[in-house]
Amino acid sequence: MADPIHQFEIKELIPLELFETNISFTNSSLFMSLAIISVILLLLVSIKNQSLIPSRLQSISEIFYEFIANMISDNIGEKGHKFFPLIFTLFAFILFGNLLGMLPYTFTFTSHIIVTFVLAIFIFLFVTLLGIFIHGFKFFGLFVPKGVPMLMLPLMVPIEIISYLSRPISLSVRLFANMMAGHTMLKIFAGFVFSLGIFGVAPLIVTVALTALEVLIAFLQAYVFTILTCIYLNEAINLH
Amino acid sequence: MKKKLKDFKERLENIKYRTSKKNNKKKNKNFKDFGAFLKLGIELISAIIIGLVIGLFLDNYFQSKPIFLIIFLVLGFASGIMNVFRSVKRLGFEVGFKKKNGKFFK
Repeated sequence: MADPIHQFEIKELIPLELFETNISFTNSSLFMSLAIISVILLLLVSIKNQSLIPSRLQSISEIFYEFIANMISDNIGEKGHKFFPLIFTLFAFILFGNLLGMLPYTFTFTSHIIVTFVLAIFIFLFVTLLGIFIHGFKFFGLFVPKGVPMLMLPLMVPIEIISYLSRPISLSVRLFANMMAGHTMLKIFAGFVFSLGIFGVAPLIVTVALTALEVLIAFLQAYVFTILTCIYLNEAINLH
Repeated sequence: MKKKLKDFKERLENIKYRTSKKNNKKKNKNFKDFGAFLKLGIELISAIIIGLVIGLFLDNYFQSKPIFLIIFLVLGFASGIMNVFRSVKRLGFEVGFKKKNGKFFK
């Protein structure tokens, strides 16, 4: 049976080295670039012939825009529209990375924890610094829950801090685990199709169903990642 | 003519605002619930990992082998449970206390 982990292997396409650090252009970097190029192309092509009554392509980018704009006004409010470019880029990057990975012979860069963890840690640092920048020392009031008796505070504050620090981990592991588990499962079921001969029809049906589920998960995980970013931004901007 | 157009724009915005508000609530409800369930397990684990890391780090620093590890592991469990509780109840940052107007973030 084919090795289900083989698809996550990093291959160096253009070996490069800078200050004794390996900065090779890998297949992961290739698909990151492809994701960005395809987002830019989609947006550029779809707004080329703008009209009041949108064409199909124009509708896609309009829906795309409105989806993010609504997400921001629902979760953050008026002040959040400053961060539209950040949220939009994040969503488009992750979504296209996930969806590109669904095509045969491609590589899913979101299935590597280092990629998602770097995204998450940057969001975490950005949100924390933003909160401190806006509210100053008052930002740390986030760790003191309202309505808790004074006696409980020595216990509650460390719990809140741990809960706050656990955000980048839960954010990154969620995306990475979903993408990796899904792709491994697809590969395993697809491997059964050939080894079972005529009975391979059963795993084939499962594979088809799983592919649909994986497309849903690709959307959903990109959505969850961005909506949690919105929620964290909301806490940094509006406190509570 | 210009005034009419301006009026039209206003009315259009009004209708857009009203319909989008209605549709969004209906459409996204199931979608959001599904997303909420996928994250529960990780919410629990990640807080425990952070507790473990802080405990090990402090023990290493103060040379007091198991004390801080035990304390922060327990605190990690507590905050993991709280993470899960929060994401299930969709509360804001407060523990077990609803906001006064009963509105949570979505």
